[in-house]
Amino acid sequence: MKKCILFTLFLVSFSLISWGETQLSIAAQNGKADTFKLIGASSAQQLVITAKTGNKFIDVTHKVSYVVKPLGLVKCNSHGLVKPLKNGKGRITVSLKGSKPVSIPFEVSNMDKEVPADFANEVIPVLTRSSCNSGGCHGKAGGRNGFRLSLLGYEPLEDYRYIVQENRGRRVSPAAPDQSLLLQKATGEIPHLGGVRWEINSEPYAIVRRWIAQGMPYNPNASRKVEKIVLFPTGRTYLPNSSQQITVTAIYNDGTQQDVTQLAQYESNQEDMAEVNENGHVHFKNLWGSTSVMVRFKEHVATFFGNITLGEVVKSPKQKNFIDKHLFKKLQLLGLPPSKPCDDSTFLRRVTLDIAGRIPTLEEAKTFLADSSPDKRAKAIDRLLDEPGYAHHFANKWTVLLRNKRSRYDGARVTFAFRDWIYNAMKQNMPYDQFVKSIITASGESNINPSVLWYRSFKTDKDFVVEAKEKSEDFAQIFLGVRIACAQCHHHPFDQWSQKDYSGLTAFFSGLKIKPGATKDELVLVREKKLNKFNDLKPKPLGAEEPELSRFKDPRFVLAKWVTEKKNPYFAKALVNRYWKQFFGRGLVDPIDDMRKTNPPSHPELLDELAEYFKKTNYDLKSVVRLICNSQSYQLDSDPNLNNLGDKQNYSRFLPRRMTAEVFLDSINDITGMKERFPNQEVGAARVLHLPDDQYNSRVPFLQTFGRPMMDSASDSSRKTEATVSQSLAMINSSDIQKRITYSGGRANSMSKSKVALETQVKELFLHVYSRYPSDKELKFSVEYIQTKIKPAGKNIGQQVRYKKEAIEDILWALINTKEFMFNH
Amino acid sequence: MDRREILKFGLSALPLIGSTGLWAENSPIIKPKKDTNIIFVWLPGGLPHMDMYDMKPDAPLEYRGIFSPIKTNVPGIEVSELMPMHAKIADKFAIIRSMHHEFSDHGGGSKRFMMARPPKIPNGTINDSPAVSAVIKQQLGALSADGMPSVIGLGYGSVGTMGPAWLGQAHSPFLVPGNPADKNFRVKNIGVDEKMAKRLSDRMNLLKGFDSMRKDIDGKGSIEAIDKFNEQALAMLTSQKVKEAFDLNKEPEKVRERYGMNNFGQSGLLARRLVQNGARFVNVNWSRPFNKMPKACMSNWDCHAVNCHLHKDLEWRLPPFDKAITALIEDIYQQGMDKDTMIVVTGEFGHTPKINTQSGTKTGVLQPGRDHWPKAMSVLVSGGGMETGQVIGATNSKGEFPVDRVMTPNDLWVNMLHHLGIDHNIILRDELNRPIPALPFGKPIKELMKA
Repeated sequence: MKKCILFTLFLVSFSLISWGETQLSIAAQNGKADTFKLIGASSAQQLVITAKTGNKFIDVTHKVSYVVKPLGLVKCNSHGLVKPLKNGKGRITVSLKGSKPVSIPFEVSNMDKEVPADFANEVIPVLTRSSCNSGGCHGKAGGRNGFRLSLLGYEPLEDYRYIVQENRGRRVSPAAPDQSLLLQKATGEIPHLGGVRWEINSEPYAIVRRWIAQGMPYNPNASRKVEKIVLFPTGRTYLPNSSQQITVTAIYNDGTQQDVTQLAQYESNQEDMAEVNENGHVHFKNLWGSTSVMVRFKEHVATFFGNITLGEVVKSPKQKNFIDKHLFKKLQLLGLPPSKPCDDSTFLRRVTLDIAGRIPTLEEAKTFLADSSPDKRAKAIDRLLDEPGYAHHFANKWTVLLRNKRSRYDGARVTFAFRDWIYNAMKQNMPYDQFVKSIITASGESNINPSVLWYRSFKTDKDFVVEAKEKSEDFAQIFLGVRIACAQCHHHPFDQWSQKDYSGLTAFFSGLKIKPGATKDELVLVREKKLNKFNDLKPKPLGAEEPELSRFKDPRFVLAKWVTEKKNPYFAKALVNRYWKQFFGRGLVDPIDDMRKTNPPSHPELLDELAEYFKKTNYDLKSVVRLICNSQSYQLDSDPNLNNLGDKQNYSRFLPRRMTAEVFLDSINDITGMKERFPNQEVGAARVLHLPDDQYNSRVPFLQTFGRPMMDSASDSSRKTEATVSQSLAMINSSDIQKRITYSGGRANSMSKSKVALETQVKELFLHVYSRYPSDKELKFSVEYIQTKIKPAGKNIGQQVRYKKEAIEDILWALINTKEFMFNH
Repeated sequence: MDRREILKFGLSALPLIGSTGLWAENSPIIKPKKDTNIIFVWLPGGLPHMDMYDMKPDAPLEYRGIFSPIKTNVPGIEVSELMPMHAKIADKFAIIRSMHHEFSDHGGGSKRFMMARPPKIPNGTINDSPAVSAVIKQQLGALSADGMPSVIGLGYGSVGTMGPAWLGQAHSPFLVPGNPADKNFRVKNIGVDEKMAKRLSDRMNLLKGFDSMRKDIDGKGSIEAIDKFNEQALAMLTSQKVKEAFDLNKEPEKVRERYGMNNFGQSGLLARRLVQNGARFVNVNWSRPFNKMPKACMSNWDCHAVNCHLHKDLEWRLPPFDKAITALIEDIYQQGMDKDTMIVVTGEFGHTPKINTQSGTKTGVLQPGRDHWPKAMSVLVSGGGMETGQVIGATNSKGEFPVDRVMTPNDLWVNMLHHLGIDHNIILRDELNRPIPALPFGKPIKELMKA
């Protein structure tokens, strides 16, 4: 409500006071105000009109009036879309009340000539825009209902064959174009499962009809090729509920340009922040932050950015490092005030969970809260980074990512060995480049070099061949933050990768075998291909030149060198972004393993500086953690202020998130005093975080219920975080929970027998559960509950203890079911 | 709206079809259905079609085996002599004889059937794609209005191939392991006793007193979702209706005995009670009928010679099967459920048409058996408002492969989804956010659809 009023006030004041100083500007082809050319009847030009007042820009494309002179050469609609009518030269004048009119010259030609229709550059984009060739329709493998097209039109030659030659040529009939099956299906004249796509004589209809009427011309060599597409504007700052018209210009390899705003495809990256229609008109919603729209024309993609500002006065807390500099700057720009810094209890619990994967012990909480030194937070961070808990927590993270899955042929020794190797790497703080190199170039016996275990195969079981495709997909996703799996079968729809890129990367991992070793549970990685004879499948890193390979050298060394080099554009960014998410719950690029031009970071400069910092420390993982945790931004409260409840991407407050399955169960054990035991782990010391593989998910269903990954994918999203009914059932009445709260050697038992005053016991319980003391109300509520439950026992001491134990079990149950416990907040 | 009317509709730019019903071309539209459900009887190991539903009396002895076909109440339909009760109600079921696929491992075959696509690994029981049953749960929601789980896995052993893969654990079935014929059969998470119910209510009160964190601050709605799911879970735990649905003692003794006082019979009856009370898809795993197993027999339907004596095993297994399945079919027809409840009886594949004689591991003597055979299998369907009293498709003279109306399990899934009011063209999103069709292919079995 408040926002609405503010917004209205802003508009009113803007129109009253500033209108007089408003300057209009026009942008046409390539964002320029030069003469624009309309060549042929099917051409069009979208104009973008911007009103500049002071340093503020507002899109007025849909608000101005357009006058064409001389009349009859072109028509221009109220949204600034110009279409040719007759050859000639003229001018369009644009005016808006309160500002000086401006104009732009144009030139129409070739209206009298029948310009040959261009299959690849005209017809295919029409099919793409109408979703005919999308993955859900005819673009899916094998097509749909007997008609197939290449996915998103990446293979025009194949599409030509499918449309023109297949089905005995019945899909197109140049003698009577309107009778073509292609058109009759799309218009619904003949029943079409996909419904009516085009009205008869609509623009797409006309384009395809013209192509058919001309006899379906297709000369792939004569077709101009699009070199790139250019957007105007590329991005600006906006108020909520405002809008922006975009123009898209295709630049061809013959130097010509063409407006393709009406042919391009648009997709909003954040539907809750911005919507875009098929004409390239973006509407921003009532949510602030950075948003982007992906624009695609044929195989080319470009991204439009918008910052939506709230416009509040922002007072940021003290900056502690460059993270705060970037984040607070953005908050300033957005006019979005951050929450206040969090209190000590919240900080201690948050940082202990995030670094060490556990809740603070009772002693830690007591000591930390009593400590009055000003640098106690920084000291806590250092202490946590030095404890084995850090190494265990991050080993768990990497174990899942590197998919330490128990295959049917490997015993627990194998998965334990790989997990131990990862754990030691984390413990020694092995530089990240070395860590990755060791994995990629691993060979030999697993007893000596456990990192070869990454190459285990889960698909094949007899020939021991390493699954090169699986490894290259995992490699790209984990270490580069790039998803190339799509490019196995077709050009990546939202990225630059082609099938060639895919096979080039995959070639690095070909010719490897992982065989049983000399002793039980030992595996050996060998390279079958001693000579580098790559026929059509030559190793080539993503986006890089094809490397010179010596005849004998294992090409994986070349790959390892390429990936870890400081000039690699992905490596450092992918890691800092991944770690960022660990602490902030969301990547600067999100999803974290989908880094591409069309999925831009919310804070590009911050991501760059973090990556640079990481490189400068020579890939020191602990430094990244230390830097992040010491930032003021990480230490903000999760409680919102009046303005930032809706903020999900600007880090104006900490976003609570449920503990992971592993950490959650360990924490429940810590609270209930359960001594966990898992097969192959030491009794008494066993923690879920130390488990190496997926098989424990079936032994401890609780873990699966709460989303511990099955390690079938290196995707970050394979860890499910959403709430489910099964989780509620597990928490409310499962034997998994029941046996923990009632555990005979556990907390309910010891508390029920303890002689310490009940109030003190409850205080300590709360301190352990939440790292804070209970409020008076909570204390009274708990103590009274226990006393009421004991009462019926009368003087019978044995029964008193029994009843007290039951009451404490109830309280334990309730505490671990609170969101304050379940969530890191 | 006219069921024959062809639905025309515009796909949005991204064709993520939700509940919008689409059938195949020139076929009726789907209407969302509230009360329809499926009892999916799974015979792990695969049913030997040559000894049950696809008898070949004219084939050589080493193919046809020792059993003979008998006539049924529908002229032209014959079934095995070991299933005389089937013979009396052939008008109430249809036999599909031309189903087939390519995966001959139990795991691979089960995955192929349940995921409706070729598995990435030809063995093992961990799905790499969601089982269609998981998609059903995703589409229909985890619980019905009464707190009854929507998708349930009943029975002995593993129903592992109902796995949701990347769709997420939330879409796993509600599992009810065990044998409902056992005296100590108990269902977890259903109908807690009075004492526990009281304690849960105390605990919930405590939780209300402690649970002070703001519910709207995680930006994803999961805090609020937890409260909602807690309520649903509690409703399910304490619901009298759900508890009674699982309580076979509520059935008259005569009915229980008609089904047979064994695992087959009682879990079939339980499935009927569950769908009557709101369950939408119940997978009943029928492996062995009785806890005690003769030496020459096998725990499931995997009738290799090394496992069992094919004929002795069937003589032990088929009578309770015959009794249970016909009880279930008759029951849903008598209770007027035959429009809403669809029954499907299948395994992961058929068995080799040619009998293989080998030494049994347990018996130590040469005995007949049949091995895995996905190239031809029979499936029985009933109810569901379908056209029954017919045989669809045929295999060649030796029962080796289909020669008429060749179809795959996907075709049957189209009919099953249709029956539940789910669009078989829905598109799911995998872990890379790629559009993946729930059924990559498959055409409705039109013979089953009533004109």
